[in-house]
Amino acid sequence: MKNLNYFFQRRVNPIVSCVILLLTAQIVATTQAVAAGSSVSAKNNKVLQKIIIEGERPEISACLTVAQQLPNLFPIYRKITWEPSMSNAAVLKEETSTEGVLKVISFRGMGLLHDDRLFHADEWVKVLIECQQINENKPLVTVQQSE
Amino acid sequence: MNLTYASIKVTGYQLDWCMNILSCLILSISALFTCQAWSGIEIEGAGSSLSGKLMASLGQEYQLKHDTLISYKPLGSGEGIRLLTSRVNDFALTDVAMTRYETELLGLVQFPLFYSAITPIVNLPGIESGQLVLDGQTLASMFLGDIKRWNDASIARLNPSLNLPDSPITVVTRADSSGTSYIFTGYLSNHSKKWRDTLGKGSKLLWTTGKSVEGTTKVIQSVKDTVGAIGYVELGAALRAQLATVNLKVSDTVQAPNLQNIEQASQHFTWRQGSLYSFAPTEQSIPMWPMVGVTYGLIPKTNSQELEGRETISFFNWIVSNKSATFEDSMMIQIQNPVLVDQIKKKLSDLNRSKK
Repeated sequence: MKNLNYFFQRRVNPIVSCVILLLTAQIVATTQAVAAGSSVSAKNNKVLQKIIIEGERPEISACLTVAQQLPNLFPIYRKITWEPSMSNAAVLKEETSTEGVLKVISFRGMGLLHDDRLFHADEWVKVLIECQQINENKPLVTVQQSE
Repeated sequence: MNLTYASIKVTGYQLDWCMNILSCLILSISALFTCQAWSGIEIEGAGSSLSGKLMASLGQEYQLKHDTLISYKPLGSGEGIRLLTSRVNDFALTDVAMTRYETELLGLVQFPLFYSAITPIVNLPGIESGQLVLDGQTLASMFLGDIKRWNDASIARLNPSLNLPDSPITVVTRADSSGTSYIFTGYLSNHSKKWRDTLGKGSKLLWTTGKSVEGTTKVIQSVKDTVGAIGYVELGAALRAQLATVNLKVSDTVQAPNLQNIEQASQHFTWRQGSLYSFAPTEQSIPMWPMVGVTYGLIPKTNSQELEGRETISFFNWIVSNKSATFEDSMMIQIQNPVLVDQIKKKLSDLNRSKK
């Protein structure tokens, strides 16, 4: 308290105060982002473990892990799902170039569209889910409505 | 009378006492024998079925020198990864390389150990090993079910001197998650657009034709039992089963599955720095066997059984540090590139240090 009084009494330069405030905010934001990041990776760790223990093809397990978060990434869908047998039908292509290794995995699923109307029937559409894993990094997933 | 009773009582007591001594003696002797037979520790692994025979031989060699029992179950790469993820085992071997993203999430360390070849095998009466020639496109069409008979024009064109039968082709595939399938379908993907777009590369696929069985042994048995069958297995397993292997057309040359051609292929693999994730050569201008894969070791970064954890690292260190004839006997090529060997040793020593 004494220090705080001293701080105000000394009338610290407002620019310095702003910088301190901004820095504090930055540190808080970074800490939160790191915490969120680690919780996501901890969650992915559990999902990947579960997928592999269930006996999934190891080469597509990372893609399925990320694909489980699809509704968060593509809010037009309330839910995205696929048949368990679909994983054996997933097509993996792998190629190298001067930029590195690219793994592309595609498989079909069903997406439940978001609809805010009060009275409506659920609308499921066929979707094509595609994962691109560049240089062994976390796969990037896209969803496209298919016929 | 009393005296007799007393004497009998004493005798009974002595008998009990003698029996106890005898039991203890038997137990001690059996314990001694058990200890003499094996007093070390046991490390357990599973995975790549093509590594089964090699691991049995390497395990025996290691046990003689280090008094550690290596127990390895060749259940297939997928099952090996599954058991290691559940931390049931101390290590796994896989022919399906995991990416850095996956190994980091699962807390595993992955390192390459050796190269092996996959070869098509056939059961065609009168046709010996190396007589039948196929190419990637034709092989893919056979496994897609597009080529259905042995005297099909595409096969006949590649084999003008062979009298091919007018009989159906029975395709035999692996039903379990298998590294052998992964290497085989990788080759087919490189040579057939239809294969690449419809089935792709995979350890386990929705096969469109033929008969699917679990494990190398069953593939061999099915091909042996079925006239007109074609399957795919690791080269050493094909030779041990005395099945006819197929030669492949590579560019304008015909190549046979043999150690020299596996070694040629091994020199053209590309490796990613750090993770040592590899990529098989696709160029076809060099004489080599085009269906070659790398088998990797996988160890958890932390092992709840400290002793087993350390011994697992020692075992793999021993494999990569010693040139062993066992590899060539099993028709496999040990990783010997000094740069790679150094990187593998570094991975293992980092792991060892983190356990201290």
